[in-house]
Amino acid sequence: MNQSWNRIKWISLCVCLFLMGIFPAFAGEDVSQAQLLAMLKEQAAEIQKLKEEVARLQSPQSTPSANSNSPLANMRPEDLTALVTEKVREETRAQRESRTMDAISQSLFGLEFHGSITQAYAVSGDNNYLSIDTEGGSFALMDATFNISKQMTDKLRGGMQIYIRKFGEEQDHAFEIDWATLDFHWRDWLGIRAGRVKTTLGLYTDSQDLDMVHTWAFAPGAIYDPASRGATISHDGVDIYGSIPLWRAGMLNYTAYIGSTSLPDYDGYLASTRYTGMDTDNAEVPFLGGFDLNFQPEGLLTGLKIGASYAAFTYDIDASGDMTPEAMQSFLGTQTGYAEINMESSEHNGPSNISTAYMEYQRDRFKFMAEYRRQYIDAIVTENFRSMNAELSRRDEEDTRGWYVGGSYRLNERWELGSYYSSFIADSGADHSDPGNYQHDLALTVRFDMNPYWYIKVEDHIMRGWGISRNYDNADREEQWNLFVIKTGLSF
Amino acid sequence: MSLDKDTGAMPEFHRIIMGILILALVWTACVFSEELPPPTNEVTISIVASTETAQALGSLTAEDIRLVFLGKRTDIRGIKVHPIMLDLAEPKELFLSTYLKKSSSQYMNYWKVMVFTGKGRSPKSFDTESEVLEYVASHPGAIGFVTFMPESKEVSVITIAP
Repeated sequence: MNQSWNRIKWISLCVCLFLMGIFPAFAGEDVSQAQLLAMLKEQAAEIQKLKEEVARLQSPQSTPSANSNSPLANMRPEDLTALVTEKVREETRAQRESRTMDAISQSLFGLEFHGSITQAYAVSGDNNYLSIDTEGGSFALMDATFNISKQMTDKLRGGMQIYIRKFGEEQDHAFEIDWATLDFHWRDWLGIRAGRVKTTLGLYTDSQDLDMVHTWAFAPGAIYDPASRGATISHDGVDIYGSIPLWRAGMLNYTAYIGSTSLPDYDGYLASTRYTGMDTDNAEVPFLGGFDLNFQPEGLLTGLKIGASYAAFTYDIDASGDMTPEAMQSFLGTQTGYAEINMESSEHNGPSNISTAYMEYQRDRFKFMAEYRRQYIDAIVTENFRSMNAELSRRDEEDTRGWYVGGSYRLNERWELGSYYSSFIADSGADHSDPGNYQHDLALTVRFDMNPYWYIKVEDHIMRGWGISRNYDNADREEQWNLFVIKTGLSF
Repeated sequence: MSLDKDTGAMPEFHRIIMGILILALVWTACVFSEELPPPTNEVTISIVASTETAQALGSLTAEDIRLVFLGKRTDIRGIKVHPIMLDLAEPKELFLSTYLKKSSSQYMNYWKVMVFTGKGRSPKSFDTESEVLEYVASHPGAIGFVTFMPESKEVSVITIAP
């Protein structure tokens, strides 16, 4: 079964890459440019031919007998010029219509295709960046998307996107359906999306993977932890959304959603469970509901977006297996004498939520953004140590805080500079001076756009603490460390 | 290959590679970098639609135009509207900075977010003004922009109210 599934995934990937490779034919852009050039050449030849004909007919040397057979012979010069112009115009229109039909068939009857691919190289001092072996320099950072969509009627649109990612040891070219939605845009103030929908939560949760639209190479980890991406990136359910104009004041945008999701295998929390020697049997988020509300004023403050998001969720995680002595020692803080401990664990949370406040200001070449997020989890964890014939039940409360401020400036068509400072506290109730409980990150990025489709980013991070990392990421740690990234990407 | 544990510095090999990459980047930038053409005052932007659409819409505000080109307003006075982009550097920059207060790259990124999150479809764009005029003339509800006042019965300029 697994082999078949893997085969399907790789065949799909090859099809996507093939389609990306022949994109110009689908997009019609290069084709239309070539066609336009050919058309202009044909037009020039036609005009030249007709001009020569007019000149010959109007020449004093031309004999009446030579002219008498031509319909152009008795026409006035201005009529001849009008005729030439009209003829060229007619031919141009016919050619264009013919080529437009070609372009329509090439875009497969209104289907629209887009895709992207990125590859990064990261090297760090002292600490690994999450599960990636960046201390030794690593290329294990790649992702790709491919989407297809169609505007079915003026109100109904459908589409889907696949997402493939290599992210350190946790995610090895894993393939997933990123979104697959039907979107009914009934009015500007009310629309409905259903299916697998990208979750609107804060500024960039839904666009955190879209490297081509951001200045940074790595998003601020205090809020957009790439190892925990899967928990909030999308949900299977229904969204309602809309934009309500507030007379002369601006626009109020809202999104409300309800659905469910599941934690993917590569999720950082599940990966840390695997590290203990146990297997995850179930990792579901049976309920996820929330809303986002933001205001975009008009007038002097055009370009400002200020808003807040809230999401409530429940989750169930069940794991079982043989916990390693090292993990057991780390867990209990003492040696047990057991070679391995067979156990099962279940974690069910009570009222848990994520709340975010944010603002973004874009004006001409300048962009500024700031965001604050709190994640509160209140869970009951039950552990049955079967080898020891003991059961332990505890309440696990986690109050995570993160924020960042950042900005970017586009110097010219190709160069852009950006920077952000992000701060993360893993548990606000714990010691804030413990480097394992915080992570501060100062990032500076230079972005160079080769053309509208291809870019390169060079980014340096100065880090303090390792609060975002998991236990298995590093054997030894240093409080101060740095991370250097080079990333390139293509999109169409 | 790892960094120096005591100093946190990169080893010689990495420093050389990084140095070469940064030099290559700077060199590429020097060779290919082109300043954005500053919008000239000689160019004026006219917002156009088919004559029947323009008559039905009457005058619009600059905010209406901004929202139409961001895909946030698809219905004005009961008429379904959709934006048409002119993909010519200078008029495009001038239009975007005048009506949307965005640079060309910010506008492109805005629509990439919509397209890659499944929340929208980018506007149709054309390379020439005549194509924009031809399209809006034959598609009721299409709103585009050009740099000259067309003399045509099929296309009209939309008045922008202050």
